[in-house]
Amino acid sequence: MGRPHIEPYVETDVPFRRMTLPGFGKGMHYKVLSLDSDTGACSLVVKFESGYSLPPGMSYTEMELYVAEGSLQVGDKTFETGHYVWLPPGVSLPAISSPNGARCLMFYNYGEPSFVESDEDHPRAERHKMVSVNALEDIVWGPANVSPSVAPGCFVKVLKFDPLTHGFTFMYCMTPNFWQDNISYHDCMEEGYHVWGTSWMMQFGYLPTGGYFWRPPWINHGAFQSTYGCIAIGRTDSQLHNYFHFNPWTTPEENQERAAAQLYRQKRNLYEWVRAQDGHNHPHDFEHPHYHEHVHHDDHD
Amino acid sequence: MAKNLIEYEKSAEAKKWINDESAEQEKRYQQIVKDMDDLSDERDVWVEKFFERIQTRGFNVHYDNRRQIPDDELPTRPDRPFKVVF
Repeated sequence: MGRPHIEPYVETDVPFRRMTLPGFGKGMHYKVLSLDSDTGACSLVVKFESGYSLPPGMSYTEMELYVAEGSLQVGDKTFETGHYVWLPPGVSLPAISSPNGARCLMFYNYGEPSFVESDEDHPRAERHKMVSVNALEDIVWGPANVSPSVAPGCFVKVLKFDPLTHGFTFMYCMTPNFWQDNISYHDCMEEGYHVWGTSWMMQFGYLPTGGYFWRPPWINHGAFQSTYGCIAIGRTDSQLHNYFHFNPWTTPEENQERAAAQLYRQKRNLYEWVRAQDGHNHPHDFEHPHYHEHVHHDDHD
Repeated sequence: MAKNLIEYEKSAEAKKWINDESAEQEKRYQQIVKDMDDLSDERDVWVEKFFERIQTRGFNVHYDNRRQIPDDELPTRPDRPFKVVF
């Protein structure tokens, strides 16, 4: 069934559980923010006890890591607070330790948390895609580069961008006294975790530090407000488009219909071709031939 | 195609972990639904204030572009429960 709509969820008062999955050793504790019941893909808050250590190893699924507090020693590098890593599957990380403890966000995107001890990459690993950056120090805040755009006072740092899907992982912030008076929804999944500060949405109320959401497509959220500002980490699974409106009572199905109507108005030729009834439109990307979808309309009837 | 996962066999521990955590998540979800239902009266006030603001200060169309929404464009509440969690 994938992941349900988890919004809002505040994890700060929820106790950690000891990690018992094979390979992770002692001293790792977690809270599940959201979980795909079919695959085990999940978003976690993780606490590493001081003295925790893990030998060199890899994950079967791509994994994202954000150091929210403390630091991790990874080989000869120190990942301080704010460090972000996107690790493609099969890429071996050197030995990890946490001399003074750390609190992290960890995102296992296509399967449950897995760890296989290895000091070599898996033959299928794509190490060249790995991202490792300090999100607080190495990137500057910029305006959200989407149209229609969020209101002035919402800034973004892009941490990881997928050129094929346009899905991305980003930090976002709202400046004090931020207001955005519209209701938004997207045709992609959106996830967010408040690293610091409180924001408000008309549907869900106040989201404080430690507040989280996993929001499937088409779901209304907003208007938006933040009195003192907030800093958060966000993710999408494909391109983020803001469908703004001011009807608080629409359903996801109505929002989906409206998005399709906008697609018809704004990308009419593409819309007409994709929905062609001859059953023989085969989307093929000459730049990425292996990202091929062979879709017959009969498959969906 | 992007390689986001290397195929592997899930262990018995992994399957149990997924089942256990799924059950916990279902409880969290039901609590969220209840909490959001409990917020209904307050939310109705927030909606009224939202309508006031988009008629005076304006509706955010794009970045700092705003439009004041006239009375006859305001939506009417449909005769169905106002759900915010799906």
